[in-house]
Amino acid sequence: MKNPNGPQEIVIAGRTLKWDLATITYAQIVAEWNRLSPSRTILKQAGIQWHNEYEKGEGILYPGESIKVVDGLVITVDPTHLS
Amino acid sequence: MQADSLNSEHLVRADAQKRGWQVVRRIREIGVVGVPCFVEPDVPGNCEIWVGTGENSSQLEISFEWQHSSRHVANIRKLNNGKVYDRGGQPIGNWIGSEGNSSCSISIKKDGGEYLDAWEALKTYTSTIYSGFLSFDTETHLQAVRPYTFDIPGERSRNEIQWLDLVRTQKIAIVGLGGVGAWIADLLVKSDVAEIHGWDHDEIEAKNIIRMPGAVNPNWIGKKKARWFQDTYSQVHNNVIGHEQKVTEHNADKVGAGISFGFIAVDRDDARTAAIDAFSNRRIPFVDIGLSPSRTDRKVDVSIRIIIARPYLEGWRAAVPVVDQVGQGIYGRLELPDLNATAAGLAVQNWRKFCGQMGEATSVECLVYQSESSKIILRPVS
Repeated sequence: MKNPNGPQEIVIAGRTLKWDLATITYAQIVAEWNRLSPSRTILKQAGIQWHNEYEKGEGILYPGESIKVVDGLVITVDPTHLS
Repeated sequence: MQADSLNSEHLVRADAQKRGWQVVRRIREIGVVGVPCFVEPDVPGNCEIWVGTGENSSQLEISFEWQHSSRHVANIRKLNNGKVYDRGGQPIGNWIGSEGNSSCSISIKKDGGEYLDAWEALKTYTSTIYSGFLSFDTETHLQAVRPYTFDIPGERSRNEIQWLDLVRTQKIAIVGLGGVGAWIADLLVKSDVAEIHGWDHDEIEAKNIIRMPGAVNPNWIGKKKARWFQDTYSQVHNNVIGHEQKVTEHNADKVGAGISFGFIAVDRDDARTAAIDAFSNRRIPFVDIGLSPSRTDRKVDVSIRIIIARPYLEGWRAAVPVVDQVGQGIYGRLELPDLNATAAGLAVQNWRKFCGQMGEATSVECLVYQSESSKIILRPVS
């Protein structure tokens, strides 16, 4: 569903982009990451977390879940899990 | 219950060995011989502490008149005037009766229930009487029986000892003794747990030396991490066992046997899956730890992900990344012992919260620390 407030500016893995849907899903974030970071393609299941400085929200996103998209949404993707 | 019983016997025997006492097993009683005490006020001596059991059993049973029909009562022998005293001259325990001056029966009940078995009772009587030898007031100050190869002088309040007791019977397994696992080991050997098992089949490489805690002697390069773990930490903790094996589905039973809590700090998905199965299939709580480094311009950012898996809950499974060894290249060239230590510290803190040693405002199943923002993001238990 399109965002009634128009495209919102969000950050995925340090890159700013406009997102015109009301939500963004785990799978869409992975797809965006893979588009933005072709040298570090996520093949399976990464760790994803988000925060919004303006709305003071934050969380850890699991596969199958989605987040409401608003300006200032910053999404971090962890493509590794090393010891 | 069986693990607790084994731990009590183990603690009694380890304590006796460390202090030069003797553990004696008879058909219907077990005892510790040679425990320092006050055999009358201001007169030090060595006593024997006995509890009654079933025939060749570790269960408390009424087998002797000196028990006065109470299974948990202990008989203290080699005394001078029918009581055993603390350093302040006060009798220890509830005096039940004596058979002449050389022995007495006393009762010390377990807080909040019955003793699991004779070993647990013997552990309590022994530590209380020995504490009385070391301190003035066994009601408020005790000498903790600790799992170290050396004594730590100083008394502790009953509350402080009960805090230590929250983890004292725990057997811990650490799967992976690399940059993070070695730091976890370093913290856990100082936490009063009963046993620590470390699993890793890898050898120490030069790069590991500047990721691991302390000053690891470069002579260890090329030798097994599990051997380093056992040899190093056995110097301070009584029960440190290294296993030079990779954890797989084939040895999962051995990895999980008798374990109270697990830590998983491995790179590979297959090793992580095997360790997770080893613990979760046996309802053993565990923490899985992973780092995710990235390089931006000339700077490095790292996320630390901690997953806390509680028995009978399944929500944490969605937090487990499945990423194979992507990123191993950049990580292989990064030396960040500070981040390894931070990850291990967060993991061990969450274990303490699980055990009740530290407060927890919200039960979480996953947390992520981000070095760039110094922020920790929590995912509450679902």
